[in-house]
Amino acid sequence: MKFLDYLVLGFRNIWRRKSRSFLTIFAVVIGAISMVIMLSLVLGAKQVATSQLESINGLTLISVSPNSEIQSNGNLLNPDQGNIDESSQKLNDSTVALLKNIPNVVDATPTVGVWVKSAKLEGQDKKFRVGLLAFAPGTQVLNIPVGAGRQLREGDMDKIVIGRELVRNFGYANNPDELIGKKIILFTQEYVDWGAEPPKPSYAEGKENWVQPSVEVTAEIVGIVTHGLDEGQSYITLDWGKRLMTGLYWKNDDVRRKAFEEQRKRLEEQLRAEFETRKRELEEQMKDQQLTDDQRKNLYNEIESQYNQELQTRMNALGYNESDFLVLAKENRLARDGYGAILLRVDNTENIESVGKSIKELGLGVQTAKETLDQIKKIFMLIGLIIGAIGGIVLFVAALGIINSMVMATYERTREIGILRACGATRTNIKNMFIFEAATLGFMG
Amino acid sequence: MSTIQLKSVSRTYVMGKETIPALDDVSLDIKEGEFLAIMGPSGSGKSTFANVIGGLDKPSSGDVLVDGECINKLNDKHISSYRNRKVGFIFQSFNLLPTYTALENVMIPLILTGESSSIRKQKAYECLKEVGLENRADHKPYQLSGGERQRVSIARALINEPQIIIADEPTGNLDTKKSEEIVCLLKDLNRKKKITVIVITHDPSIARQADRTLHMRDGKIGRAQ
Repeated sequence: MKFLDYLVLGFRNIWRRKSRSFLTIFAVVIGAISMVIMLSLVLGAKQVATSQLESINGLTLISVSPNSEIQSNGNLLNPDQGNIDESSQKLNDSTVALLKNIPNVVDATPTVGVWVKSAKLEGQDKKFRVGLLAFAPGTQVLNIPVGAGRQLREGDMDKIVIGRELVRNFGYANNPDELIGKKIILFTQEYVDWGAEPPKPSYAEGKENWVQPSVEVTAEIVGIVTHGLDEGQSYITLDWGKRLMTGLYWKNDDVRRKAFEEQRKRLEEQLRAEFETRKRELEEQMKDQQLTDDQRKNLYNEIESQYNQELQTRMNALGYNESDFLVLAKENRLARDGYGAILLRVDNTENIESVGKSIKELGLGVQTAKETLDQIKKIFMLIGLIIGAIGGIVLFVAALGIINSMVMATYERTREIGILRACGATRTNIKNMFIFEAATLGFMG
Repeated sequence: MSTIQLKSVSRTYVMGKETIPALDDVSLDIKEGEFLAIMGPSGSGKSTFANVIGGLDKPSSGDVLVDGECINKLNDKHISSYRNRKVGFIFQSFNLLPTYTALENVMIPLILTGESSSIRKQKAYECLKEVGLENRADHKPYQLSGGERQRVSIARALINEPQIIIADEPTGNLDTKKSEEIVCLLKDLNRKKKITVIVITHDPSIARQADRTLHMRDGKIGRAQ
């Protein structure tokens, strides 16, 4: 029997039960599409994850975290800082200096994620989530590649390089260049050491109450990161980040208050002494006069009230005002908690391991691009396996559909098979006919 | 010289624990060009007999020789080729493929041999002409009458110019007039083309036209006439 005849027969038989064939083919189509979509999603995500590393020349980067116990989260630029506990060390400038002295380390920059509630473009209403990472652009560690505008420079204050996600959210996906120079408003949850000062309260509210709702901090967009980098991440300089992480609040000025209290006490004692003298003089004068107890009492009360009145007048003259004892205080959380991470640039990929080892000896957590890549590969392999398995099941179900369809066809067509056998069809002929039909169904899908 | 020889052929079917003998030690010679009728009650083994000769079934024991060749020992490929080239089947229920036209139904054996489509069409058309249905070539089976359908199936049986035609109750579903036409056709083929015709029938009038009539009962061949 000819190949073409098998094909024609297969098609005719499929055509004969159009609706059933269509459903079967539909199942195969869905199976195949979902498989392809899922696999390409995984591959695409993997591509994105690795291209980020490549674009920042990440293979010679080491990320140092405060705690050696912290598991690598696969994101070199923004590692999981974990919980600060007794085993973690504070990352500060002396740590940076220490790390810089390790042989083969070219340069280092502290990084820290600056938390802001949301951000909006000036002139727009909608607020969006934003992830800010502060780093020192003057160092030879990180160069965030920009697709438009310029990179961050040392000393840039209120300048920001924004990620693609924000560009999209602001509605400038097609013309990102136009965003350069525009103002972005960041909403912080407290008054920070930038922009407006907190309004002075009439009395000290205590530190619990110093958090203020949505304070606006304005920044200028100077650049937009290239494709491939983490799209949700925006970047600012460390100098500015430090200011944004310093909270402002009013607190009691204890020295001034104490000085005032002392002055008041002295004044009181002085007055008291004066009045005591007057009281004694009065008693002398009243010795000869016959006065009732009540009269005497009234007289004393009068002196007492005169005293109080006088005290109040003099106090007022001192200029007493509760709010005078409030001063604007700063709390630098970066100094308190330390940096989130320190990024190191190593001169050569071959030295990554030795540098990593010496950092581990300091009791710090180390994440290298290699680890990150391994991590990414591991994660994506797992995801790929799971998704592949799901896709496999879907395809398997589709295959079951074909099998079901064909099994039913054979049962339905036993008579037809008999006729063909009588006409001289071999078993192979019949088998091939059904295989062709099934294959055609599969291929159509 | 006889074309078909059965040598103590038996065929038993196993149904659960029971074995049912459908053919019981049948030995028979059928001559070339013979018109043989087989009669017998239902379940006497007539169809099994036809199927064994036609290569659709294999005997449990004994041999079937066609032109000296033992067909029950052939493998699937060869027995299929035997059915395709040497035997033409005609059934009581016509057994046409319902979605195919008359012409296409006639072509089936040629499709199986891989004949080219132009030759296929030409031969099939000739065969339809032979049974007088050339003007019905593009009709589907449901558009044909019973007699026409049976003639299509005869045309299909003829297309590879077989030496043997096995007709299993070819007139069972037809009225007397149509039956006669079909029998005439078979008789004609038998005479003109020297085709050996084996007809299984309940109808004594057909049996009367045969060269020989065999009666079967309980899987055994009875007296010959």
